[in-house]
Amino acid sequence: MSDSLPPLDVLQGTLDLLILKTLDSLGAQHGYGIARRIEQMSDSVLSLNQGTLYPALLRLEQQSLISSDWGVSENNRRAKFYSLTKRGHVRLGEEVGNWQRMTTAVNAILGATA
Amino acid sequence: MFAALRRLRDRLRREKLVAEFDEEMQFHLQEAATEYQRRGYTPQESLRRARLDFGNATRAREDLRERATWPRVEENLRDLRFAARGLAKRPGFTIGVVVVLGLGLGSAALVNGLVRAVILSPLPVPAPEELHLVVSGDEDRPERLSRGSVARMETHFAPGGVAGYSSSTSVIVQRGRQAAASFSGILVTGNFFRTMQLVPVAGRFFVPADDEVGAPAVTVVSHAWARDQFGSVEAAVGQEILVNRQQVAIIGVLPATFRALDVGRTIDLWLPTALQGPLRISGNAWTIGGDDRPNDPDWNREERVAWMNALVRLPETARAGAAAAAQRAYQAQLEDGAKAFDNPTERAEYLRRQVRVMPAPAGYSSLREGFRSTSALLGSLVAVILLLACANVSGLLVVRALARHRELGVRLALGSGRWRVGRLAMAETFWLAALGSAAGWLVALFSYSGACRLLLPGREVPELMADAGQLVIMVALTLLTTMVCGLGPVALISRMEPLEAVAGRGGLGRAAGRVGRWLVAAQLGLAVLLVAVAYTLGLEISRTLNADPGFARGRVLTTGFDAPAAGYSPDQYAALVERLDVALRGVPGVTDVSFASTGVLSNSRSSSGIMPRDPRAPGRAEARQSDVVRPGYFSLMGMPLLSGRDFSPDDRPDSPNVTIVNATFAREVFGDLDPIGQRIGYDFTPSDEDMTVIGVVADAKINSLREAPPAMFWVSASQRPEYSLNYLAIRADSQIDAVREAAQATLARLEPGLVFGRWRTLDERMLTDLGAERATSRIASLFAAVALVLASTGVAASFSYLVSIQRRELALRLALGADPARIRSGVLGDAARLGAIGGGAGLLAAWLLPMVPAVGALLPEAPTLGVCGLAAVCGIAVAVAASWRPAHQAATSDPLLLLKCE
Repeated sequence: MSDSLPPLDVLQGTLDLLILKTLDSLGAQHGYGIARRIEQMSDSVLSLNQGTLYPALLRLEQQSLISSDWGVSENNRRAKFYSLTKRGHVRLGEEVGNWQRMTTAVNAILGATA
Repeated sequence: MFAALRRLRDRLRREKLVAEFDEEMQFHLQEAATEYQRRGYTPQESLRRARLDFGNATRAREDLRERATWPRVEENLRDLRFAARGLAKRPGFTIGVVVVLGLGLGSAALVNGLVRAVILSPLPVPAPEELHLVVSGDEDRPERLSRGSVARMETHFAPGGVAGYSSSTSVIVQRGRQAAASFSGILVTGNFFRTMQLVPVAGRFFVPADDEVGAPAVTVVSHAWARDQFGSVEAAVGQEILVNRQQVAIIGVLPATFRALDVGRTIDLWLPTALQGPLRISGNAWTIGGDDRPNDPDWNREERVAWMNALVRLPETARAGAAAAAQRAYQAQLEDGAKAFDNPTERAEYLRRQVRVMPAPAGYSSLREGFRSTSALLGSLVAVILLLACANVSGLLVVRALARHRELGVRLALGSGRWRVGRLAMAETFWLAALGSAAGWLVALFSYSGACRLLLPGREVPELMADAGQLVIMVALTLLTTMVCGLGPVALISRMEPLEAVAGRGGLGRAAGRVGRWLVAAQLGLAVLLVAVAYTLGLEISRTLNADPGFARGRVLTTGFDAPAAGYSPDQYAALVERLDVALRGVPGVTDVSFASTGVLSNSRSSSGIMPRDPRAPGRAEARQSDVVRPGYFSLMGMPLLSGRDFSPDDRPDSPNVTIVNATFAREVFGDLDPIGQRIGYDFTPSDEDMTVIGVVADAKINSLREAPPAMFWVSASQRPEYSLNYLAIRADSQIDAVREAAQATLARLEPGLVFGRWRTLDERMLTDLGAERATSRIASLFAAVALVLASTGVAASFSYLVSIQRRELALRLALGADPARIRSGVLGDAARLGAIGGGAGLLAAWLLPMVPAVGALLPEAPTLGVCGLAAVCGIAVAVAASWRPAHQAATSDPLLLLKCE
């Protein structure tokens, strides 16, 4: 499927959810790792303009949903690692619930017969 | 909230964040390139692909930078910077507006500082909000209590919860061989300082044992007094001084911040109440005399002498039931006092008296009660001045906005929103208000002590001009001024037509001109109102001072002294007065000498319950003011005898008691009966103490020029030698100052232990009596002058602008041969019309103002129509005078030059 169809842009407003979920799954992770994980997990269906990740990370940090710390990557390079805060965990739960309600509603509309 | 704070934090470290982003981006690209190399791409291709995946790095960096900002704050700061640059380019305009606002805001800051210091500032003690005053049931005045009542309250409330204190009094202090001098003193209970929760700066405070009759005499002194007398607070402790000729040891010194319970006063010596008897302190007291028993001369043991007030410290949990506890303590004083009343009605009425407790974090001050109306009047005047200054500045800003119409038009035409352009105007107004506020604060700070001297002579009012409270007020005033002054220009900008404005036609039609004229008319109206009020105040004071007070005001010198405090016993009073009399009669220039107990305009009065004996007399038993005088007192004071005779030396203690009453007393007590020969007495039933009326003197304003003559009776000192005469009056033939000096020198030689107060003529006492009113009138005059100056500035600015926008038309008219004189008179006529509108509005406002009850109560009398008319004429004259220069400019401009400019 991924070979035959072009990748999709990440939907407006869903990047925060994807970042939070990635950090929830992987634990502390640097920006590159988060971008790679989103693309891998979506089986390359979602194409992320990776540069947009960093302003989003700063926004989430300003909202106290994630925190950051400098560390060393597996390739022995200095990198900034982001991790989920308690508040981030709570928000993730809310956002996942919202997303599921949304997709259920959209699916219901799309699946309805005339 | 936290997100906003984090954004602010990120704004402060924005460059660091961008540098970190660059580092993260480098890491990101390297990791991605490594991944591509692993997949077999060349290093260059790997890096290219990594960059492609990353996207626009510059856009990402800008997005990040945008996240690390406070957009609205930064926009506002940019506006403020722009506005500051604009104002700096026009220093004349800026300084002018700052001066105008500084006058208005400075006046407001000054009055606010005075009100906070006098009315609102709490006592400088810990937790002042816990302090409650014991007051009489139906009034907010402190109830006079016996020492016994205070002692009972001490048992009813928590230990260290009741502070009893007397009125302040004068004490005579002698230190070593130094001359005796008079200082202020007060008697307080042993628990007073504990209740106040004060800590001594040196030595110790009283404990209850110091306040027991027979205990060693001790005193606590004020910080200032200790330093003045002994050089330092430590040196004062342990010193022995003579107070009213009694040896007293100084045991402690108060903190410098705690000076008295009354605003602006400083009590030098704080003495235990037990010393009332030994020090013969007999100041303010409410005494009940009965036939059943004589009163104890030691007030500490006498329930019928109420001479104390009480402050109770009540934490919030202890307030329920406090009033009932105070009433229980007061009950014994009531029941004992009631036994002295012969009249059952009076007794029942007396027994109904009640006390309660009232929150009093600032204690109680008689000054505060009097200052309330003064401050309300000044506050109203200041509000008018501030409104006037705002109207003035608003007018100037409108003119400035119109002068900048091309620039504003270009901004609007280029798509800058009206809100944005309006915000710029607001930013400019904010700067002007902030600078005006700072200038006003400085004006208030430097004029504070002068205003205190003028309004509150003899009081050291704390200065609260530089504390957090004042800062809050100044910030609030700045914001309010910004709003009020900025509304006019912003309203105009909101209606500006960009293309019209760019074309140089103002873009506002006739609206701006109309707004400007209304603002100027409003300023003139307010100025006329202030002139009318100030003139009325001055006129009323002048009339009061020039009216006949009922006594001879010139060439009568008066002073006070306190023989008991100087150690004289009652049997020595008569001889002392005789010695003083003889010595003063020997002073060159002295033509007459006399003495009284309280005298005229002395701020001291005494009264006793009096009953007429004639059953036909309409007067009932009632407290009437009284005085004890020497024979000859009335003729010296210029109080004419209307009928009967004066006291004579033949009225001796063993001869029948006689009295002289004034016309009001005769009218109120005896009605149409002939007062001469009538008998009056202190008791409910006739007794040997009854007095026969032998004379009637004309009414005089004994207590105050503002107070109607009281119904009063006088008794002769020749019949009551045990009475202390504290008021000395001498009549001088000429050279008042020389007589004053000679009399002072004579008495200092004759009685070095006796301390005399200030020697003042009755004229000087009259001026002092009206001191606060005169000060208010002067300040009102000053405000009126400022108002006229502000209004004239507004008129001048408005007409300068009108002339400038009409210059094309004027140039054409002059070029076509118009008479310059007609152009001049046209502008002046326009100004006169505007002045008439403003003057008329001010006249109407001044005439209607006293009908507003809250305002009417502040003015001693309503401005008359004549005064209002005069003020209106003043407003018209100011309008014409202020428009003279623009009119002259309009008439003398070179038409060719004007047309060339266009």
